[in-house]
Amino acid sequence: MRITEWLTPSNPCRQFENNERLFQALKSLNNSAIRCVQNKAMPSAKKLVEQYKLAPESVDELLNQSSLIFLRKIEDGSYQFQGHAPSSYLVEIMKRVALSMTRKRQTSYESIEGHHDLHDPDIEASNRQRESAELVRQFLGQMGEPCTSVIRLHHIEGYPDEEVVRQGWTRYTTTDSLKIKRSDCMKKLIQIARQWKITNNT
Amino acid sequence: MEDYEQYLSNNAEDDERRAAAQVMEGLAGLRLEAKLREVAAEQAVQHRRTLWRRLLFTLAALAFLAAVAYWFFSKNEATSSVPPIEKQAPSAPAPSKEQAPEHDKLEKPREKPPIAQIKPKEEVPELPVPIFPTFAVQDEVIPEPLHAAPDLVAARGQGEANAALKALLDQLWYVDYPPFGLKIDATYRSADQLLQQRNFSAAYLDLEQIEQIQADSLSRRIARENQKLLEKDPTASPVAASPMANDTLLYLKAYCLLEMGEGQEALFYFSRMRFPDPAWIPQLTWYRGLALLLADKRSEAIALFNVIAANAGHPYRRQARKALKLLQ
Repeated sequence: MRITEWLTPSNPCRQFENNERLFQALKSLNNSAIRCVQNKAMPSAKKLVEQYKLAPESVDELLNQSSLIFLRKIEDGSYQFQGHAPSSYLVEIMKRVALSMTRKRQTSYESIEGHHDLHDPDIEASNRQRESAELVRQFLGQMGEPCTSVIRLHHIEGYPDEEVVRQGWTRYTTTDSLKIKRSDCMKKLIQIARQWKITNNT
Repeated sequence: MEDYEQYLSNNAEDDERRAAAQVMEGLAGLRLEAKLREVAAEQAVQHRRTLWRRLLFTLAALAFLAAVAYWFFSKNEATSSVPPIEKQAPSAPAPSKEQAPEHDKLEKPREKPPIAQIKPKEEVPELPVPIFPTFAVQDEVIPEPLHAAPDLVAARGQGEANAALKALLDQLWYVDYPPFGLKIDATYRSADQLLQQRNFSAAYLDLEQIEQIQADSLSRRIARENQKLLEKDPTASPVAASPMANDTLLYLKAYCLLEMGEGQEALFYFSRMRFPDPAWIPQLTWYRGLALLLADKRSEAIALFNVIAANAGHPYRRQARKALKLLQ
């Protein structure tokens, strides 16, 4: 190993021969792929924070929020690979997020009505998802064990049932019993959400 | 979304579907958030690892530089610890006559000459059987001699041994004029001029004449004293005249003979010196070593070089080490 390679962080993009491979890896939420696009977009994030006069510590928030939107768009299929570098799309998202962050800063001392026309559907969707995620977190807390773990391991952390059973992370010793329990828990979770909607009239 | 999606499609009401959609959206959000946290943690671990590696590398580089600096400065210190007179003595160009007193000034303050220097010359043959040094014979860089050794091939004839000895002596001929500490008075002016011109045979003849004159003068003086003695007491036994050449003359003659390649003769004159000035001793010892080599007394020469080389304060110790190395 060359000393310069040993002294610099490993390049996560090295394992992706082309943009298409990178896109496919992003689709399956591969960690190296996410790090690769984030590393590529990082200089632009710093530049945007400087350009929009945001707080220097906003760089991570900007990159994180933009990555969330980007990955959601890949997941729901609204972003399709067209030969371009995925990081360039992430940078485009970052520009809009940075703009919305400046607006957020302005709303503290300006009327919110004046900015209706500037709302971004992607950012709104992201905010909506964040609210839903917060609600689900609350509902999971209400449900208690074993439903919290059963749902978390599969739907949030993405572990296959076989591994959950093999590692003994739950009391279920077969994948079938685990699936049945999870289905049951999901129904309960939906009922809690439905009840909450009725109660809050949303 | 497994069975529950089917459950929704079969039995669900609208508000239940909306609640399910919100739950699925929330779970997807939580999954992406968890994924990004995982990636950030990985990134942080990698940054920490890289930071440690850089720190380690910097420390290693600093340690290396410190070692190099230590080596460099310790080496310099060792070199500079040699007194300048010692550095220059063996190889410096022959100083002029006017510079000679300066040598005296530098050499005379040595109140305690090294043991090897005050050993009487007669003791040399009694030294232990010649052995090669127990100290490390290092590859010390010393300048080459300024002058070549005497032409032994011309003086002694063609022969492998003579050529080899000449080649050896050429590398060891650290012989300078005037000898350190030697005061040349008016008596030796002409010989001194000839020696400066490196005309050794003429200088030798001149010194022979001086010796003869001194011997005649001494004889005449003794004869006069004997005559006075016999006039007073005809039964008194007369004082015998004995040659009483002084050490300066002996040293100059020995030096001439050394430069002429007459080792045995040079040794003879060296051995006749009775009270050599302590300042002469270091150089004299070295010259004796060379004379021993010229006289084919190799083992005695090695013994003498061993004594010189083992003496840390001897100005010819590096030359002696070189000699021992060549003689090995």
